Amino acid sequence: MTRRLISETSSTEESQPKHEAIAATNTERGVLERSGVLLAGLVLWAALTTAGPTGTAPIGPYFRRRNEIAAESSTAELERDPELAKQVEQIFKQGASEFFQDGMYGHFSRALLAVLAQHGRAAFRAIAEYVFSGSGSANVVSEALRWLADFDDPATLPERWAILQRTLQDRSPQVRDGAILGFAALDDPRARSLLLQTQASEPIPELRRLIQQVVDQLNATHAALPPQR
Amino acid sequence: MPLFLRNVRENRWYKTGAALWLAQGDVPADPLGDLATTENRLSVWEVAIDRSNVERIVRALAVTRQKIADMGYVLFDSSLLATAGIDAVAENGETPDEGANNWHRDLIDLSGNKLVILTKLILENGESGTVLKKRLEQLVTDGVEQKELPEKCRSKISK
Repeated sequence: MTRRLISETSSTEESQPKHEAIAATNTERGVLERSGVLLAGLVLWAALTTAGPTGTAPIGPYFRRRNEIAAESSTAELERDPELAKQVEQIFKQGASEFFQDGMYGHFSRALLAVLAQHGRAAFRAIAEYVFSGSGSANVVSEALRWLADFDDPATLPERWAILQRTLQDRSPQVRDGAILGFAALDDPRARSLLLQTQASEPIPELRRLIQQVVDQLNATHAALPPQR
Repeated sequence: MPLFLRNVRENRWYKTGAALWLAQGDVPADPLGDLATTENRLSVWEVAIDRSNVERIVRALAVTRQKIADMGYVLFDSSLLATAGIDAVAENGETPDEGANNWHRDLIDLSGNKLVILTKLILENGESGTVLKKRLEQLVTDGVEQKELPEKCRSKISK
């Protein structure tokens, strides 16, 4: 079973060229099987992590100064690690047999956190590749989004943001739920416009309400910040 | 009639988007996983009519978990129990919040059929919600400061 996105692009005009680039790449290669999906995921991944306008992946934490972010580079520069990709796929497949509960660790979350701690940004890239392939269980992907968003490492904010932004558009309500809660965990007010755009097209009332809760939280976070000089 | 609250993973309880394979009148199986019974009893919490104790109940449940995280719940009118032929009894809760424990109830003598009926009734008539992690962390901090929760509950924050 595969999952598909309800929308392959965000509604921002900036995203359109990225979509066309992905489509062109696929057409040239003439491959729409799994390898093509993975390639599209990688191209999108690169596009998301290098862009900077509102609604796309930020290049640094909300509170960081501009001169502190120069050393960070895109995950697209990382080499793909087939072994790591295989390990991530295995973790997700094993997670399909788990019953997830709020606030409880399980085999899946422990394995996911371990691979993130060990491989850092390379692990995020492997997870993105797997999640974007659409072949994972929606339930497991949703659980993964909750945990990876909460991963305490400011340097990987662009990677986490990119995964959450893309999965906000997933066809599965469970996955979208995980993405929305992921943005709550990031607690970055820059996500407000993106979430409000998503809310406008979200068909599930419970998810529209959840988005509003997260936006309210982000508004409060923003209001609590000291005024910028 | 008061409401009852049961903690669940909210994304298993969406009312819309019922699976096409589901026969009319049937219920999806996933929500049943959130209604795990012990000795044919199901733990629920009585909510005040003005819902003023919802967050305190969810907080009490959250601190029994390994870490503070987003917590989902469903709310349903206690009158649904009569429809399902289910009885409730007062039974003190076992959370670290002694004040909240008085609101705990057990639904008793549950059969598989009754549980399915209850699930269907909640899906049709109940409502769901989630208290976000950040809000819960604040509630736990407040609870410790107001002596409603023991100091050790702080350790569940950002674990």
